[in-house]
Amino acid sequence: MVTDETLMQQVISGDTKAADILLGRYKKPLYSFIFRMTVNESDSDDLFQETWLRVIRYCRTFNAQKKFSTWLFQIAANCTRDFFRSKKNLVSLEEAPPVAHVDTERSSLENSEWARMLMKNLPVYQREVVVLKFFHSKKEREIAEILEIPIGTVKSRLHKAMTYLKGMHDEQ
Amino acid sequence: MSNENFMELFVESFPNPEPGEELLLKVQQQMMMTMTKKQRLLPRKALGFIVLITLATLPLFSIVNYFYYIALQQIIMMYFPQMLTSFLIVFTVSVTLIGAICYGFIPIWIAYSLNRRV
Repeated sequence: MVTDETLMQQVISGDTKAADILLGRYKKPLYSFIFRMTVNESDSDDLFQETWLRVIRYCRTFNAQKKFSTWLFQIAANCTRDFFRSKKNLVSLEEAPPVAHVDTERSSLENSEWARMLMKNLPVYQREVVVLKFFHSKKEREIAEILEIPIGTVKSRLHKAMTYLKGMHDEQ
Repeated sequence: MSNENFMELFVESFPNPEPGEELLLKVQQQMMMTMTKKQRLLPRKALGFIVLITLATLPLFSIVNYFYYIALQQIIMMYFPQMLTSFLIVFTVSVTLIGAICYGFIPIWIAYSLNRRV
């Protein structure tokens, strides 16, 4: 099987088929990542498109020594950050909002609406760490590389996020 | 409930939609269009060459700019009435300065656009 990095080299030289293969390989994990970040299907569709367009637009900046998946998730994370920055009045990037009361009949984790609400209340910077760690099983070092932050920051954001999520869950 | 169990339940209960066929088709088309457009653009090496040429000609441009300013000053003093000369000299200085700044920004802007964050 041709590696992602080789396919990227082919994309750089203008091979559209190689781009299609990469799209096929990463459509599910990438869309899942974006959906978990935005918790909204229509926003996810837009950001999914934007991410792939940036892949093509900036393909020459890809470093073949690095993993393609790391670079791809880096672009997706930047796209989602830009998206949240553009609506910064609505969403907090760093600070956790006060615990929101949820009017669901069963505020349990078996309820997907409740899970969505928990994720939405999580500040964006903590959300991206949680999504990469628990939903995509990425190692802390890779998360640090994707988000361009030190490993210590990854750990502290994870800790804060866990405390916040558990706190919200226990309060309901 | 332990942290591990809590996260396991959280991950399991979170919806996991997949991209629709329509969206994938749209992305494919957009990617193809962008790649075709990109091939028509100046390649990276050519842009690097432009940066080098601009940087190399910067001192020459500054000298030419200086003589241009001196020549214009002479012309203004010769042909325009006294009351207008100081205004015109300030105007000329501003215009030549803006020109020099714009010229100096060409390599900076190209280098920035080649290496900006993705």
